[in-house]
Amino acid sequence: MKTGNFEKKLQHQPLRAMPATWRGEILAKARGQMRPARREESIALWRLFFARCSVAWGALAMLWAVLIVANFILAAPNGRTSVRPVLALRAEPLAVWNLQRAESSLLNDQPMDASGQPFRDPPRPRSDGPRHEGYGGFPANLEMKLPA
Amino acid sequence: MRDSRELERLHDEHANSLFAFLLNLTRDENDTRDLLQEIFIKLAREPGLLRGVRNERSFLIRLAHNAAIDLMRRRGARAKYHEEFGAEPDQIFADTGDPDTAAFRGQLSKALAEIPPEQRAVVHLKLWEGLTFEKIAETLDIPPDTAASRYRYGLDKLRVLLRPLYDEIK
Repeated sequence: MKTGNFEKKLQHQPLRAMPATWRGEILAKARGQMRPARREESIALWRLFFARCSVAWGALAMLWAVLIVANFILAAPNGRTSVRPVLALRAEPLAVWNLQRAESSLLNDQPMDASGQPFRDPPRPRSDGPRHEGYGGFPANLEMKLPA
Repeated sequence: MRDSRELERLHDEHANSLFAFLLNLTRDENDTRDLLQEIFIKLAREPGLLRGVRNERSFLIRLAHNAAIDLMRRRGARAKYHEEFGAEPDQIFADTGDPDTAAFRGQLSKALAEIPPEQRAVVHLKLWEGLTFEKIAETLDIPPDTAASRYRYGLDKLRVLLRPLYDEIK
């Protein structure tokens, strides 16, 4: 039996066709699994957007991470950038006087200072001294004598 | 984007070929239908699956082959039942009115069921899909030499199994 003849004999045997009823069933079930067109398009658009700008998005994310870390570090108790404690210290004597005055008015007493003398005027903050131009009360009219 | 018409086109162009290939591998019509359904559901869910594919038929045959191999591994126990109780594998050839031809086709169908699936796949693609060994190798992801040797071994076994009938009807 020659190989060529045998192969040809086999080749000439026609294969069965798929049953015709299967077409409708297979396609119907497959169609039921298809994604909605709009969602597919929007997914494709998002993929296109992120695929093209992936480096930019990555850099933006890194920047946000740096900002968050920096904010966390600067907001720590050891950080000296907060101005709230300074304001609180400035306002403290006035707040204490107000409190004492309120207490005395309730008790119908005249407010007293530490030595027991009645207050006539509210205490002025230490920093509220003679006003000078320039920073920190440094006299602006100070004459600088240059060495000869 | 793959729409319903595209799915129909793919079905009309390739379903018959896939059916014959899957039936030859699985030898069970119900399994063949399940696998075909699986393939078209996959095509419907992933419209981009065939994007950039040069040869649709080869790609789909590879999908079918992989699915069939997975199924045969899963149903190992059922296959043993069929062998033990002599269940007949489904006929893979078309009916004919000629009794001699019908007898030959029946015997050929049984003989194909007796050769290993990997040889059966190559024999099918060579004889009934008309692919070259290079194309078969690319489709099944095997070396061309392996495709050629599997074909040779498969054909030799078929020749031995069919010799009495072949000589008789020749």
